[in-house]
Amino acid sequence: MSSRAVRFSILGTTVIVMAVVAPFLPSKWMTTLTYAQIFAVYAMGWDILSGMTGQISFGHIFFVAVAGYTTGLLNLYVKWPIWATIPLGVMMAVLAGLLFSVPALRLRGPYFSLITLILPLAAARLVIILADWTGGELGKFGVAALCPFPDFKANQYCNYYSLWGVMTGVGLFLVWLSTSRVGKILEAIRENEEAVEAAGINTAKYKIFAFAVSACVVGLGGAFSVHANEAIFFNSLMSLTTSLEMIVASVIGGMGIIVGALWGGFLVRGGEQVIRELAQLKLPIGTEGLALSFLERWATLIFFTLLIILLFFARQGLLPLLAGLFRRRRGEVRGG
Amino acid sequence: MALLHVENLRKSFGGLMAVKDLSFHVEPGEIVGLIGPNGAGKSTVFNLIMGILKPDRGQIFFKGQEITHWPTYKIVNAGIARVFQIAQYFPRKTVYENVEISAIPNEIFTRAPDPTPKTLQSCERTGLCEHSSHENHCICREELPGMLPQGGLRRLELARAIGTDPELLLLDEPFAGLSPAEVDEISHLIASLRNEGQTIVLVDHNMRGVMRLVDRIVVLCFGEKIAEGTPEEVARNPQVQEAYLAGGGF
Amino acid sequence: MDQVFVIVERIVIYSVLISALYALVALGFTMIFGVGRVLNLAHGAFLMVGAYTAWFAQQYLHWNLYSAFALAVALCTLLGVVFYQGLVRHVQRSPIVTLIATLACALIIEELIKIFFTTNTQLLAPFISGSIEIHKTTVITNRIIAFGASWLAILLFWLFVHRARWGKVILATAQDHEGAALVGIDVRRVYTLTWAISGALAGIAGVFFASWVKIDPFMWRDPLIISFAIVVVGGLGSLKGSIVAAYLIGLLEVLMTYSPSIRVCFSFRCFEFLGSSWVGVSSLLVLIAILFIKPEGLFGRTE
Repeated sequence: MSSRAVRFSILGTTVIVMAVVAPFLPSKWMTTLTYAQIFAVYAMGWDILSGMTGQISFGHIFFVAVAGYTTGLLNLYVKWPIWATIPLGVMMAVLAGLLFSVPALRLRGPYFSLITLILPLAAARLVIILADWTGGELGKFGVAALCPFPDFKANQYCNYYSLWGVMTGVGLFLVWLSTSRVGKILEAIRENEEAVEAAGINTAKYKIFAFAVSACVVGLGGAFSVHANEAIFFNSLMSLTTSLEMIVASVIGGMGIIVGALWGGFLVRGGEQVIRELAQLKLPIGTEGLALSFLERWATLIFFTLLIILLFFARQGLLPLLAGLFRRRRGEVRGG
Repeated sequence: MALLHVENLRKSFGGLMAVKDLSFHVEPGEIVGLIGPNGAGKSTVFNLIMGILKPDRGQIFFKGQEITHWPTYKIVNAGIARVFQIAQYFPRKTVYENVEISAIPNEIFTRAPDPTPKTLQSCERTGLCEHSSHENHCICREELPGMLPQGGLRRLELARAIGTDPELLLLDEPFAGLSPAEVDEISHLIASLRNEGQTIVLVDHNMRGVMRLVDRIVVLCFGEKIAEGTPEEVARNPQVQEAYLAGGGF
Repeated sequence: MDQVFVIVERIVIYSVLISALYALVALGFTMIFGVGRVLNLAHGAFLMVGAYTAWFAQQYLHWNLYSAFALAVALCTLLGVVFYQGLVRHVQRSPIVTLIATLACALIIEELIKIFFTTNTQLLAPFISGSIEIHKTTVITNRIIAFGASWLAILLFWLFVHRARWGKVILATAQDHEGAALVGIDVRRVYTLTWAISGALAGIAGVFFASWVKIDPFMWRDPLIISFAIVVVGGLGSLKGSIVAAYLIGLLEVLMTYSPSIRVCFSFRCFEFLGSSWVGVSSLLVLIAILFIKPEGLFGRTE
């Protein structure tokens, strides 16, 4: 999994499939995958910091919120166009990331994770206090749309492919970064930070850089999601569940390899949709048939349970697991 | 001018004085042995030089520049590298990738040259090449460090240190935990580095082992310098003999 | 002048009362960390399980509150043991995996409660209804009971740790678990015991927290934040520090409730600066500030 070519080809195949498959999708699935692409961007953004350096952040939803609220509110109140507010939102997320990273990185391991958990909780409280502007828990509607088409179908395609573009761009950049010298240093920090310092590398600088890139990518996803929704949704910009789902996605796909987070993102969001579809069905049991509608509410639960099972049995994640099986079958495993 | 100059260095942990007003210097091109019984404060001196510990007082100069309160990475980039007593490596990176980290410059946005040749050179100088490779062409080992024997790990440590282009190499107990055959290999390696003009400070508690390698010896006992001179002078020093007898001999 | 005195008196009485509950909330959390070096992010969810158990027994099984309370504590004790034996024991080695797993469990419990009991806010009937006058301050009787019960639980816990044989074993393990293992202490059994105690304490705290504040599927977050704040201010793993910190944070929260709020407006849109809407935020901000300025906590860390 370490080679750059392998990661680029997995990324390439995935995005090409995503591009080609779109016209054949039922409308419901198209919407699901539109948002799955944003979620994949979050997961990859999380992975470049937490997956690669081992500094686990529970609070990446904070950067989604900073970028999302910045672009949404500027657009709503100052009436700036989205091509100006989205970059501003991303800049705010990066700034928040930088401001936060400098002191946060003095904390090691669990303490770092603790403080990242607290940050989105504090932000959510502030949003509620400032409800006159932010709409509080109800959110705000009337944010400019990402796509200006009057036709629903055209709009759906436009949203899908715009977000596909964001995901592809982010994916290419992050796969390149993760296999560059910077990526090698970040991996080394995860394995032995003292040894990296002893090699003459300022680890703080690299971690802050990773923090900024991560905040930038996740913020980009957040800003686009606000305009794809045409609304500021408190629940999607502030959800602690989404914050942890980024970890779920990354752990499922395999941490620290970017393409793992990409796949994990699709598995989580796609899986949720599959569960929703199943919930429509009735099993032919008994005279009335057994309705599966209860399943709908179990989706999140199932994924968190899956996370714990993976933490127990396959901590390396599915992609490396598959790669390992594949290589073993072809007898390419070296050493013992 | 001395390459390294340590002046009145002091460090205590709680009530224990680990290093007490220590001064010594290292000239370019020489190998200095820093020896003393266990608990004499030798490793603490290295940690102070590398900026891992901060001294209570005293100064450290490298090439005439004070480096006392610099962070570790800056000291490394100034030209001091240290080989740890307990191997510090990246367990999930291959030997090649381990050595490569030292060859990567501390710049995120850089057009610095490809680190590959330097990595291979470090491997070659420390004998970490694949056996199957050509005579004059080194291919670094591709196995994980966990599969190397103790001597191989020590070579890996040396390769990672050399990769930072040090003017001064600090070796912390380079022979600890090695078999007699491996001790021979590593001391040959150190001797060959010296022949290339590498300045080295070597810490060991075993005086006999380092006698042949070093030009000069500084003897520490309970954090204090009790003797300094050529190996022959130091061996004749009655104070040193007493310290070593008290500490269990050598 | 009299008015000011009444307000000061009210702030003192309320903060003394709530702080005892906060100390109890943090007690189980800080003990798990002190003994096993595990940060249990499901601690708030334990409280929630206690609260919902008591509510369920009262509402649907028509039990009186005392038996409902006993059931909640028993169930939480069991939950603590199951949680340790089934999950934490296997992932304890890696602090990060432990954090992810315990947080995931908290969210799983939240989801389960949403599924079975909806997201509606529920109310728990108090032990004794009504209120009494202390000088010129009206206090809800149930809160005085919560205060008394919290201090009783804390004192019993202290006595157990310092007097009982098993308590001393726990203390020894907290100080040095390898040393404890060397002198023949079964460390795993000690951990199981601490998780059981932590669960029981969470159950007690959960019932009182529920009757003081509210019951809903998101209620686990506040106790968790309070626990963090207290152990970070008081130093992770120190009992005395935790109690002092609980009183500081309780005072801060009550001060926020009674501090005059400043209404800041721009073009007809307003927000309150300080005042009761800042109750939760203030402890979060203090927590963030302390973690940034003095990561080892105000009263040092017992390592």
